[in-house]
Amino acid sequence: MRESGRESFETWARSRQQGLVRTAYLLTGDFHRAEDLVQDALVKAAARWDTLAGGHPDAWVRTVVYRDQVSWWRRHRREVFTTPREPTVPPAGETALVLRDALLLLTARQRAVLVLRYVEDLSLADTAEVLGLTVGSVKKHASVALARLREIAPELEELLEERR
Amino acid sequence: MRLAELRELPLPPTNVAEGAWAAARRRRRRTTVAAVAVAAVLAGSAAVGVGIVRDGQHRSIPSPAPAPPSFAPTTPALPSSPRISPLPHYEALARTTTAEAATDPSNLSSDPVRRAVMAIVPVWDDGPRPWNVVDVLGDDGRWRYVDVSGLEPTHDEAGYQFYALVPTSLSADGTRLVLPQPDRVVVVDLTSGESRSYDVPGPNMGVTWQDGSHVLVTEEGRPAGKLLDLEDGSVVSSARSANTAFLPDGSWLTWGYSGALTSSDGTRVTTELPNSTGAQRTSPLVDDEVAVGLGLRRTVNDQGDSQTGAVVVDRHTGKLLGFLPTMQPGPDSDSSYLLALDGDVVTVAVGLQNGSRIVVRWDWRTGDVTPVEVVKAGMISGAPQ
Repeated sequence: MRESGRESFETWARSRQQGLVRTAYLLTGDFHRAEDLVQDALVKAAARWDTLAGGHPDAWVRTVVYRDQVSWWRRHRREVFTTPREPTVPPAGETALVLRDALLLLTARQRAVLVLRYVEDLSLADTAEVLGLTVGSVKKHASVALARLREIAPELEELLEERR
Repeated sequence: MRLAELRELPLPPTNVAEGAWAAARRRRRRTTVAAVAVAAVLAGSAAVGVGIVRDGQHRSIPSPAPAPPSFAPTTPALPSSPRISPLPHYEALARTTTAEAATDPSNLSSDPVRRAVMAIVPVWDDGPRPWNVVDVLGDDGRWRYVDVSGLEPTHDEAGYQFYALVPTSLSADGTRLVLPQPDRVVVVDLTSGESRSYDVPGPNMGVTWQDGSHVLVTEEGRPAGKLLDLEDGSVVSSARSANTAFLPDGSWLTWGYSGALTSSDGTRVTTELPNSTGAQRTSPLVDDEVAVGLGLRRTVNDQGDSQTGAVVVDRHTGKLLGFLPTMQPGPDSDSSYLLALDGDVVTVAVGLQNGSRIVVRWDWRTGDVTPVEVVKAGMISGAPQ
């Protein structure tokens, strides 16, 4: 971790932080949890900036955020099931609100698949790579997740039709 | 409305990037201290902020010393020639340090931990060898025993018996423990004491955390393993072998039996020392520059005598950088375990004649070996984070 890399890291991190937190928020439904996730990933990125700077730091940090979120959810899901909480930051727009709330009723992995595929627009292969799954598993999770969304938010039919 | 429109979701401004660099600096420093805690818990001058139970006496370890005012601004280049350490006199080193034992452990189910810094199979002064007993040391400095019913020792193809705990059992964050069992794998949530058994057919002997949701399960002598999904219990074949290290971003590096270092980015280099002995149930330690392996033999004279030890290589070239003998020359298998890598320092647990382990910190760049503590354990697994 060379001090000479600090400026380039901080320039890069500042330019990415808002987008990363938005993605993390879609995964968690909790703005503060999202900030924690991203901050932890950025700290890890800073620690290895010597090698990341010349590669693909965006992809690396995104992968860490997704994996850490799935791991965290695994350990805490009983709390999530038994203590549903209100999202801490209401987004503007009723449809976005419904959509965001619907996403939060999916499992962490289903949510991650949908966000990676349809919000971040990653390919099936890239989604599989980030989540450590097979392409077949990604397809399966996406299919189940969309079906679940149809059940819990039928008003989003327009959205879901395009993915059938 | 399209899901993609969520990219425009309005959120309050964030400044999470601020302080990340400095936090990484602090974390790196803490990790140095934590490596000692992982391995042993003690070290008077290293100062870890936990209390320790010793022979029924609770004592506090001082808070971390204030950080020096400045940090070294550069990382030294890798050396051009390897540093070969002489065989330390481990028995003599053991006599210079204190011994740690799992004294009066409580039941994990009724007394869970926030996180564990290490898990051990204890060595008892009296009674049978406890192959299937596992104790964990919480970050509060107290020991618990894991009360999973039906835990069995594992056996290799030749019928030799091994512990239910392996060096890679403890998750990186110290909250879960994974134990290989015949035809199943048991995962213990250390924060609640609850456990779950997964059906994984085969004489399983090795387990490695791929990430928080997947465990690589391996059998002795088999070049490939099985990947267990902890969420749905599914098991698929995996091309990865037991000698694989997984990094936080999902990338991996395998130190194969032939000596080749293969990375997930497709690169493959050959080391000077093939991983041909022991260490089948552990995995290398890896950072951005180096890989550390164990149980590797190095020829020491013209007669072909060899030493077994821990090896540091340049992970990008395979070049040998450092070697620490962990046992006398001979045909026996190595009973040492890798615990942590932090910068130039590798924490290793080396077997002693009485069945305990001495934990040492080896600076591969200087060759210095510093004893940390003797742990009355036949097997140790540490949490590196």
